[in-house]
Amino acid sequence: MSSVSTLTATQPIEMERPKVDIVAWLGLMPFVLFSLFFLIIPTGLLLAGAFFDKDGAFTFANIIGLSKPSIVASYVLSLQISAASALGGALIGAVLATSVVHGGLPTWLRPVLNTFCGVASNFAGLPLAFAFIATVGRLGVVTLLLKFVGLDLYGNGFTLFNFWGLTLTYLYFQIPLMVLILTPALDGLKKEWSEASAILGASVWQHWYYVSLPILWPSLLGSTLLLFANAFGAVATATALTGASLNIAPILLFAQIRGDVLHDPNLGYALALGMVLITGLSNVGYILLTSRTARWLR
Amino acid sequence: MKQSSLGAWIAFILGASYFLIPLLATFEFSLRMLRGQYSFEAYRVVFEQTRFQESFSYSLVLALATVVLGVLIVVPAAYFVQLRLPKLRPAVEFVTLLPLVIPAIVLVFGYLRMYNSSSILPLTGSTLGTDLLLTLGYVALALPYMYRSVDTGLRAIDIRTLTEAAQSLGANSATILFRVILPNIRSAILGGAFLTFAIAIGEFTFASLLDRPAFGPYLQWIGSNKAYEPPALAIMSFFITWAVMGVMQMVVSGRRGTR
Amino acid sequence: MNFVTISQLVKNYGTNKVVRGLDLGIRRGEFVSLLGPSGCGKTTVLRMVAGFETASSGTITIDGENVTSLTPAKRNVGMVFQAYALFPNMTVTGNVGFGMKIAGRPAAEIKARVAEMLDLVKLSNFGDRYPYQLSGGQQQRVALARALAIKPRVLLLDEPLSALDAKIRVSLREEIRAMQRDLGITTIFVTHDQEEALSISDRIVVMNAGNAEQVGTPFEIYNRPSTKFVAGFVGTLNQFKAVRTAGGYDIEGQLVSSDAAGQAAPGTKVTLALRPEAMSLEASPQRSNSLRGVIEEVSFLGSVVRIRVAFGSNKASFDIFNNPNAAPPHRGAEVLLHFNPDDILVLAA
Repeated sequence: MSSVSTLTATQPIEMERPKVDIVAWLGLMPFVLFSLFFLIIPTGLLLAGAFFDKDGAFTFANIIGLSKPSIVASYVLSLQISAASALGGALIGAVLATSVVHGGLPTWLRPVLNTFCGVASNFAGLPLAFAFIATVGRLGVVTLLLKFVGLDLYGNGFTLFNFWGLTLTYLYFQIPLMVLILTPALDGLKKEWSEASAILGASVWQHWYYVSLPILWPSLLGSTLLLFANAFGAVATATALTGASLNIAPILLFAQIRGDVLHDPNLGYALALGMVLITGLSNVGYILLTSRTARWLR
Repeated sequence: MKQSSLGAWIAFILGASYFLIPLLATFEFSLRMLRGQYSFEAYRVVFEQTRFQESFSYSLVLALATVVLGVLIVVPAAYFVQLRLPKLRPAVEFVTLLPLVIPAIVLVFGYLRMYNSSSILPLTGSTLGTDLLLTLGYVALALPYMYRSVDTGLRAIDIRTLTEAAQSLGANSATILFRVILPNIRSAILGGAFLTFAIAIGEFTFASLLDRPAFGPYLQWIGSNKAYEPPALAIMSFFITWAVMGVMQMVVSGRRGTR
Repeated sequence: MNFVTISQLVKNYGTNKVVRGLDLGIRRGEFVSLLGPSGCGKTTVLRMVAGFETASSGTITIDGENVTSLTPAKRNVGMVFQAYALFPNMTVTGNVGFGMKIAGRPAAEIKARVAEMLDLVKLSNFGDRYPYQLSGGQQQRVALARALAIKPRVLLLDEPLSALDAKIRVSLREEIRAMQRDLGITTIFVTHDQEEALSISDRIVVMNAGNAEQVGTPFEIYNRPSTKFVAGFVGTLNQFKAVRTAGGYDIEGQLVSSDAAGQAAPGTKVTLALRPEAMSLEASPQRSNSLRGVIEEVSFLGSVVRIRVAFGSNKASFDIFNNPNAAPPHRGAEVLLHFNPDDILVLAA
């Protein structure tokens, strides 16, 4: 009898929960509308535009049009700069993060480095370009100092406005970003693992080779991909440094939006599609790789 | 241990010099406006420019509007997803990560195509409409950071118990959200707000392509026309970013401290 | 003679003295527990034996070899950690075989040894799993197998059971003890759980504030604690404030006789202690002491009934077995509490 009465008592409570939670959906509505109208639809329409010609007929001509030498060259240079700044940033950032987390440096350095990296990874765009022009530009402080001691940067072919200059500048936000992303992963390396290795007879190097690096590998690779995407989409720094003189994909797209330099709006959509594909794939790679480590470290 | 910390010191000092030398050099450069002496002349000149004052205050207002809109859009979504619609979490999280995948220049290209003056919704046709579009664009750019910050804040407090306690006292959903939940995740929201602010204040691509007189386009203009003002502005913006991040870290660590 | 000898071992962190001159000899094949509250230095001692901490002074020898300044890798000891510390990127097989791989053993030998070890910890079918696919108890078995695979001279166990559920804790504890007996491996076990230490050890070292308070078999430690700290830390104890008299003790006006007189002169204030199981409500020929008191609280716990009796300001708790045919005594009843004078422990007041 008593079990029957408890059953009937719980029923009304379950009835109160409607199938569709109207209040919750209402609360979610601003987000849904916003993402539809200012994120998904604009991008979707744009990318879909890559598959249509001026008269609205379906075509692959725009995609094929991307094989124009000037467009291919812009992608290649973009990929090179992004890859170089991502690899360099990842490598240097990893070394820096490791020395602070596991290198036996005083503990007060950590919050200092963290705050600095938070600032520096956001210090991109025009001010960064200004800083590098003032430092290693043609009349930059460091350029003049080096000239004074007998090293003529620009005489030896260096310029801030090409591949190397842009890579050097991008590293200024890439390295701190790497430090920020990688520090939690490094913190995830438990002290007990190195102790367990040590007591099983492994040297410090063997521990890194067999344990730490395999654990960090997905994070390292994933973070590099994120850095890559980060550099690939950067417009402001490149524009401010080189004006329109450097032919990289985002600058080309910028010029296309400004003045239809390709003389074909739909080709511009294809250009954008290519960029989204590249950054998208890098991000997907990043998510897949970090979820792999997350599973291990759970 | 001694040897490895020597290597760590070398790495750290090399890294630190790469980051500090440009700052010092830029600062030195910015002081050279007057011939033969160091002065803050460049800074004075910048501050007196009406174009600087106008563009900076324009971006300031826009950044604040972005923060407010961002909070209004993100907080209810994060709250209801966590409490009542957990099945939607993967989808919502995916959407919030989209701005990291779609480069800003592509997104603004999409806006220009969808909201141009000959479209159904010609936002770019009027100044106010364009300003609104720009603000919403900044909300999109900041979405990943805002959402993550708020979501982390919500996870840190037991929103289910708080909500049920408030319900048992007779509060409705709006009261719970704004009077109970919001104050409890104040520092998380502030953290997201500061990042949003930092993103919006100096943004270039959106403002330039939507042709609004914001701080970013002003920076570009001065960069291509002047010599000593740009480094002064770089130093200023570095310290603004530093101040924003510093306040943010204080807010975040203050939250940890009380827990 | 002793397989492991720790002599005059000291560890200081700055001015903080964590271990203060510990002496301990452990025989081959012996299972010794270091028992004490957190911060007593037990883990530091274990970590010094492992080589993770360097001793400020003193020596540690294993099998006649002075290992005090050797690196952990050169000591050939095995260790099991509280949080398992399995390598997350390796399968169970990879984890167990790691030590032998580092030692450069041939693959066939590693394979055979891993199989033997997994058989020992009853995880033969789990070789291809990753640590995150195992339960806590299973992970700790793997950790045990990994530590034993290198045929260590000494096995060090650092609170290996504290992260586990109560049920698994007991069963794994019994398994560890059985394995240790079979292999005859000298073992040092660190724990803060007195029940664990009592049930598993050949000998227990009770540690407090960096010193060994008492070293003895579980029986000795429990029944004849030599200090108030040991008496209080191991098992539960009823303590009474008393004054020494000519033939025994005066507990707030009630006189009890005791042969365990101690050295205290009459009139000295002392603390007497009694294990709960030494007390009874029934008189018996052996229990010549009795105290009159009032029942303050009766808690029915199932198989036993816990009773608290007050004698003035002194209180005593003890359990009686539940008797289905008789109601337990009720609150407020006046009772006589009987105990054997031999069971009285006299603690320094």
